[in-house]
Amino acid sequence: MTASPQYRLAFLGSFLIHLLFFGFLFYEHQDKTPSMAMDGLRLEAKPLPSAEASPKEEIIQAVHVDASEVAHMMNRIKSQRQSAQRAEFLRQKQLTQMAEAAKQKRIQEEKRLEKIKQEAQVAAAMQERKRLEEQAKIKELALEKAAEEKQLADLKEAQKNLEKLQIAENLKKEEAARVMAKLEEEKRKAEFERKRAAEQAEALKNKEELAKKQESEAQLAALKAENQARILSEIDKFKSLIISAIGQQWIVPEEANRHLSSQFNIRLAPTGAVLDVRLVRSSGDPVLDRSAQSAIYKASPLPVPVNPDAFNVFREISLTVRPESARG
Amino acid sequence: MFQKILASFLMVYVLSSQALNLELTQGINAAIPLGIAAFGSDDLGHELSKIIAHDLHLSGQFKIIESPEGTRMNQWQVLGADGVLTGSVTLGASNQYKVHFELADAQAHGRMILAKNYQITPTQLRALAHHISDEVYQKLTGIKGVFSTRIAYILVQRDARAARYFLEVSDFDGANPKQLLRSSEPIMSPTWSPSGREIAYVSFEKKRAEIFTVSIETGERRLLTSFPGINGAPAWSPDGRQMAVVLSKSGAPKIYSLDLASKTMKQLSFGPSIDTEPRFSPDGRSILFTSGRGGTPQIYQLNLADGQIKRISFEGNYNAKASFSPNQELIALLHRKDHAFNIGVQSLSSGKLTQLTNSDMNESPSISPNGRLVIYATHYFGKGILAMVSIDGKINLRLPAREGDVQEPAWSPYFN
Repeated sequence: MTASPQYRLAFLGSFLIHLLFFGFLFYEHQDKTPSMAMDGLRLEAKPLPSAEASPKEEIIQAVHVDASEVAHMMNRIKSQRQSAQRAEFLRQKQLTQMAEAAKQKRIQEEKRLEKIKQEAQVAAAMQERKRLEEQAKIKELALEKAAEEKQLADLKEAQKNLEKLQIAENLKKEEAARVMAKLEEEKRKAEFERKRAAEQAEALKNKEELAKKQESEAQLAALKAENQARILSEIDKFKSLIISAIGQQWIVPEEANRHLSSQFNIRLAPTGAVLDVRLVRSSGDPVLDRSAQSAIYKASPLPVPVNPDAFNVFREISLTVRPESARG
Repeated sequence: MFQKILASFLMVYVLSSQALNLELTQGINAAIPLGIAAFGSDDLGHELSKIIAHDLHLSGQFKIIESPEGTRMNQWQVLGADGVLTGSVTLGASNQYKVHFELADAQAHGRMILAKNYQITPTQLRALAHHISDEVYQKLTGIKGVFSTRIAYILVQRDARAARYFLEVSDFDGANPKQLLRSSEPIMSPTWSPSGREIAYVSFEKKRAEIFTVSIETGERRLLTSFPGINGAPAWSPDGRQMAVVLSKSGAPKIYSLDLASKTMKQLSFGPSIDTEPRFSPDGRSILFTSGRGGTPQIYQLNLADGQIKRISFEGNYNAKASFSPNQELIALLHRKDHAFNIGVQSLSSGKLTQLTNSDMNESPSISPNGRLVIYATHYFGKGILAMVSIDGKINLRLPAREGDVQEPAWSPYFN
């Protein structure tokens, strides 16, 4: 209940009027005890002077109150009050409406501000994008420029190389011409020389014949050397064949000392058959000696070359046996 | 002029000694082919050559080529024999036999390598055969033969009611068994003294474990230890003066050494774990033993000088019963990788372990005195038997089965 000054005034006025009327009523009719309960008014009825207390004391000045007038007055008051109430109610409604309107206005204002803010953001973003695009464009332009410059530089370089090549070619041409000239000079010289040599040919003929003879002898020697080389390679081959053949028969004693060695002298027949095995130097271990000796015998006949010259190398073999490597 | 003469002289010298020089450094690892002819045409001669042939075959180093008597040397050569053993047995005076053998080099045109003569009584025939095997073996391989050594083992005969235990000694090939002891209670862990004259063992004859020694010659017994708890796994020191034993008198089974002269004891291993199966090294400076201190049974080595203990076996989940080869380069042991018990040989220098058997339920390995053979216990069709394997794993032979189960073999030392 808003206590605005107009309301208070109306209230006070109404209150006084009521008070006045009540006073009139009570003064007139003392035996009546009116209890009119009015809306919004809380009045405590004053204790009435009792009629029996002093019936004879004084004559009451009674004022005639027209009932209809009272009723009319009351109706008027009622309607006044009602209209005041209605005015109040309207005012309240108006106030709430104003408040509501203000709120709506505020909300709308906020929305508007929000919208403006968003638009500002969008505008800023677009601005930023534009800025970046422009930067990128600038960079691109810079790269293009750099590429163009490089191309230019390359072309210049190529041009330089080309010029160099041309210079080199020219030099070569000059050199070739010089060489040609030299050759021709030499040719002339050679012809001159040949003439001279032909004159001396007769004298040298005899010498040549002698040289030829020597050459053929040298050829013979070369053939012999070749033959010897072949024999040597054959010898190498058969050397390893013989060692392998004996090794395959050689049962190495388990406890043999790896650092000892026996030496044997072996005589072979042209068929490879072992004619004689002689222990030339004992290893100190008779078991080791005997194992090697048995192996040599068991490997007979040994592989030997057919060529008599080559076989000659194998006629007599000095074999050293040493249990060095791990047994196979 | 003088220089010319000198030059020509040198040239002649060089020309005359123009033998080709060759060097051979690699051979093969194979059995030596040896021909053995029967020593005569009678039973005795056959018996002799048969025993010799079996001995040399058992060594794993020979391929025996048998041929009848009278085979000529060039025939042997063709047969591929390196050496040929021939001999004869003739009856001499007063029921004695004259035995002669010859070992010839079949490849070197029958050149003689070895020949010997003997005079024996009929009962000595087997022993002489083994002796000839030793001679031939040593001549051809350079290694001392073990054909005259013996083995000790436990024989168990069970019937429905009870079991009987025997401590026996036989030739190395299982022939000629001789009973030393008999008991109704278990006998365990036989081991030879270094002299070969006594055997120490564990006996339960008083219904608890005690360690005794028994003389092979006289059968006389000596009680060594009788402590409360375990008395087990006796092992002689190489000088024969001490015995390593396992006692549990202080709680867990530990290794002690007993001085045989003064009877004083010294505790060698300590701690809460189980230590057992001690074995002296051939140089007497350390003891191998089995211990559970690492969680599973493994082999450890105790240095007797400073008491340091070093773990030896690292492969497999169970390693036990270790003993040295005579050259102290190898250890034979019981080895289990997954579930099967097999005999293994470990190199001390490289730590590499090689499995010699490839079955299951193999145990109690014992190395021969020349370090080339390992005898062990195994099972054959449910029966306990002995078998022999060469140290390189090539030859593996079962010894003839007996009445009952044979177990815990121990190889004797050389008898000289």
